[in-house]
Amino acid sequence: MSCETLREHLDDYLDGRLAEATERAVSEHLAECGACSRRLQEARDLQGALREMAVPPPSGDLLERAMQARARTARARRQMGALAAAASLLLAVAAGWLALDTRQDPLEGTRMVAVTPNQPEKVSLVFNSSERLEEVTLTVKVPEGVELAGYPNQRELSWRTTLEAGRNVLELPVILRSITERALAARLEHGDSRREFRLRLQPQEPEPTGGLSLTEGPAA
Amino acid sequence: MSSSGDSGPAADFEALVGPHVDHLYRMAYRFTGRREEAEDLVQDLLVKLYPRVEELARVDQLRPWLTRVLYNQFVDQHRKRSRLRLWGSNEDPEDDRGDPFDRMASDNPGPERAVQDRFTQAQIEEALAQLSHEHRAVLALHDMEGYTLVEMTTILEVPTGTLKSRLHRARARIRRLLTEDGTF
Ligand SMILES: [Zn+2]
Repeated sequence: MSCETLREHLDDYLDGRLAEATERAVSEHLAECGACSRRLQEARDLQGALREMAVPPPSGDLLERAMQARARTARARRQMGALAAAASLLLAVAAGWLALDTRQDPLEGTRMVAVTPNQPEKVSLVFNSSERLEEVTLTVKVPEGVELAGYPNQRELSWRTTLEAGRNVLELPVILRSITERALAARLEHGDSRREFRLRLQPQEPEPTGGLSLTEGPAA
Repeated sequence: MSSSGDSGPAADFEALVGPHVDHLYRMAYRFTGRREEAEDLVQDLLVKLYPRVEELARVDQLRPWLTRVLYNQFVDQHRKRSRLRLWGSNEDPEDDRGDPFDRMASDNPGPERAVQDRFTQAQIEEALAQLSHEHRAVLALHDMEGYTLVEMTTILEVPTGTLKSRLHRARARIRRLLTEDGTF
């Protein structure tokens, strides 16, 4: 048996999967060939090392934690459902938004939209995603001086949602209760990744305005 | 229709899944190589499985079934994560890895055993982290946890022939990663 053939059989030899005749041929070669014996020994050493790889204990009771997380999610979902229906918060989801390339993301930083104070204005947040992302948490923070129509006291909204690939639009009916500028903050979290951006609401004289699409146009 | 209240289904769920949580965490750690990721993986899985408690109750061999679902979830997240990492959330290097182990099983040390002293747990973890999830999974199941190829077919849903060649390729790859000269 050649060294090359032996090498092909090495793993099966280690695992005891060779037919008797082949196994004997391998053993005979090993008895004579120092290089192949060393190779075998190294492979054994690695296997031994893999078997002994430590597993650190978990930081807590995973089952209990999961049950608590489930209860929290169920509660949040109920609240969210009611709110979304009543306030007609439309979350059309788009995906891949979080899967960004290394360029600066156009969403990062601050955008501005002009709104007429003291009347509901629809503000569209558009999230472009290059892929579908499940279990995304979207949080909108509402500052003093801004209301979500129908929910004057709601300062923070949080959803668990899925972003679909492509465009995801969130329309927020906001009322600017201030004559000076205010800023909405939105945060997207997925796994241990997160993104934040701000939308400045600037008061303007009453005249028709559209929503603002935040993602059109490249960053540079 | 099930009776009202959470205690019924919750208790059923805990009774069914509870005995397997340690195993799931262990496997999750094998797949991910990171404690936090392993914990998240298990927790996400448990939350996802909770509404399926009736289905779980009908599963014949729950442990391999759960391990398979865990693996599928791992593959799913792994795919997303590898892309998400691009704009990384500043993942901290592991701080719970412990000391590199310098004494690996070495029942009969000889002059040719330098390789063993060369490998620390950290080095092996680093090499494992560079493998594809398929390669990592076969090494985790077969070489670390001692599963047979036949047992692995139900978890990975791949025939034994494929698994065997995958195992060989995975070993060849990690050997290459662990030895500069590539002769190993
Ligand atoms: Zn040889």
